[in-house]
Amino acid sequence: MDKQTKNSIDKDLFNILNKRVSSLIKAKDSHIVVLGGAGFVGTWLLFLISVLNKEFNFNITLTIIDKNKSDIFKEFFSGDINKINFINNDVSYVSELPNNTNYIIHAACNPDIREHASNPFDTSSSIADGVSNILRISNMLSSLRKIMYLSSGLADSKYIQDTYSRSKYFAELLCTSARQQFRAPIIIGRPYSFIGPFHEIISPWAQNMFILDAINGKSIRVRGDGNTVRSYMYGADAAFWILSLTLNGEIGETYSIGSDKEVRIEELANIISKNFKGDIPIVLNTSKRAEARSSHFVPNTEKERNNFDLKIYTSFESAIEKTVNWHINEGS
Amino acid sequence: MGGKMGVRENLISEVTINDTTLRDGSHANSHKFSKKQIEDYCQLANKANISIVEIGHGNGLGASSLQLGQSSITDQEMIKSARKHLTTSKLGVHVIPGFATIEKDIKPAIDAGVDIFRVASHCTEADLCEKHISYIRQSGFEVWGSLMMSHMLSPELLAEQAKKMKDYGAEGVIFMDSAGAYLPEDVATRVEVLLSEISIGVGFHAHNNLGMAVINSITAIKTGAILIDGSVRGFGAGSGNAQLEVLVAVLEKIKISSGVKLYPLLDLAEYAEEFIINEFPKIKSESIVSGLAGVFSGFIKPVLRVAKETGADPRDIFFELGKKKVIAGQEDMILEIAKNLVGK
Repeated sequence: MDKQTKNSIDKDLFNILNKRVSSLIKAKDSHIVVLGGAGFVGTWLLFLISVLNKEFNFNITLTIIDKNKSDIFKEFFSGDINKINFINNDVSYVSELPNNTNYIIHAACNPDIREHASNPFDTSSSIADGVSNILRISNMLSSLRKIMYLSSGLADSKYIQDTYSRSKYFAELLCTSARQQFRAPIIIGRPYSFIGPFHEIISPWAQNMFILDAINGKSIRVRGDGNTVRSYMYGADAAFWILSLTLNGEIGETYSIGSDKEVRIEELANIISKNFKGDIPIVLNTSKRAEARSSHFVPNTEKERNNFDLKIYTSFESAIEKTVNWHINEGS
Repeated sequence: MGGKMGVRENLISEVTINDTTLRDGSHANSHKFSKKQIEDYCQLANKANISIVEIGHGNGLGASSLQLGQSSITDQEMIKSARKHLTTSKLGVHVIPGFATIEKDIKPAIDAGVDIFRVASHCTEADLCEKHISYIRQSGFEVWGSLMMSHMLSPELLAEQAKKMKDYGAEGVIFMDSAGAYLPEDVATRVEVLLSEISIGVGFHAHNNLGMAVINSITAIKTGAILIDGSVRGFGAGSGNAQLEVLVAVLEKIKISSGVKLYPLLDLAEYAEEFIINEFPKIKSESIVSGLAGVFSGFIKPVLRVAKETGADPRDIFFELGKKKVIAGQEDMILEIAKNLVGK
């Protein structure tokens, strides 16, 4: 990632913070630990906190823990004067967290469905081990104010069907039990579909596959009839929502994190195609099912909007444009 | 069982035909297709408007070897020979991870113009297909998963494996009756369970050990399968596949559109009979027994050899192999079983 791209990401975040920074005031002078900080959500949180420190003098100490190394951290934040540290470790094996930790955001998880399909035992055991380990060691932190466990929109009972969603549901149960047994200050966040820089283009979600098809100069292949409904939240908005709900959410509550603007998959393919020069054909029904079955995966965010004045700050069209440009510029 | 055959008949508007003559038939002629045979066949198949023509070694890309049989021409030569004559029909290949690798086989196949890849594994081993399916989908090509010897799993466990293939990026999953062991109700149940568990297309590949290949294929279509394999004159491994020209004729009779033109297809079958097929697939005694026992047809030759050496009844050997749920690669168990039978 070049400096110019970093600046544009900073700008996306600055534009949100400029209007809403007061809602994050509790983060001032605090110590935040982000688990799984090298992934999509973790990287956006890293940039968000960096902008808060640099542009708004928040003086946040940030500790990132991830089993994967972060090239972005190494390139832009190592030795950072804004008190950002990176610890290379698996959350299942972390034995202690900094004593002065005030907030924990647990974003560690591999959301790749191919990994879930091939290694269902590893998927479920690492989700359960990771969260139970963090819940136990956080019990020793005297300055801890909140823990945000990022579960998944799929843990909603109407979507539970596979190893991943069942494991996330069980992880939520562990969180609830820890709150009941040792008063862990837990908030549960359920992320839905996110879009933006820092997703690997080969991650097997429709939006990535469509962009990859277009970058390869191929037709955009849509498995179904295009009527499947999703919604997409831009990474900058997602990071803001997560931090805001971590600071201001009620302990014991569960919040949805995602856009409620419904998008048909065919519409998504059309908008992606418009971001490329030339005519990118869209092929529907590549799986040619005799009986189409569409699905709907969109959160209801009424509670989050009404109680915390959260909004969609980056339009869907703009989010797609930024994502496509990022993948093209980064060479994916 | 309880397959409700025919209940979804009114929903069917189209079925895609995948012609496996030049791939499964490769087993039947010891992988000796010539360039000219492939070219002439593809020209006629294209004229018959067959949706997909699958070509290659019987075990797919990269499988030509001393152990499995050497093809007379390379995969690349086969693909290129077919490609230039398939203008409306799509060109398909079979891929078994292990024989085929991404670098050595799939990338060159993409460059040579293959349209559709079918990545196959034994029915319990879909995980092996992750990298191949993902790579092909990421390259923007149509990819299906195939589950071989599917009768060895319950419908529910088969659906679990099919879902893996879907998650890797497959646009459909074909369940293969490699041993020709199914009855129509077995097929109907599996299509129904797969359709309810995975939201992508389902395909079916039949073998004719029990004479059920055509009716099983028709049943699959009536229950909701959208891609069906067949070969002209049934030319395929063991007792052969669903005979394509019969299948298409029956589809015409029951008014299900396959897009295939019957007369040109019949011409194609005549051509294959004269110039390609050295020996017609027959339902021999050992095919019947292997189908009943649910044993892969590839065991027939070694079973007959061991039976001759030991004096064991080959039919008993098949039933014992079936009880042990053997799969391809476990041929060394034949001798042990035969000796035990003789010792009884």
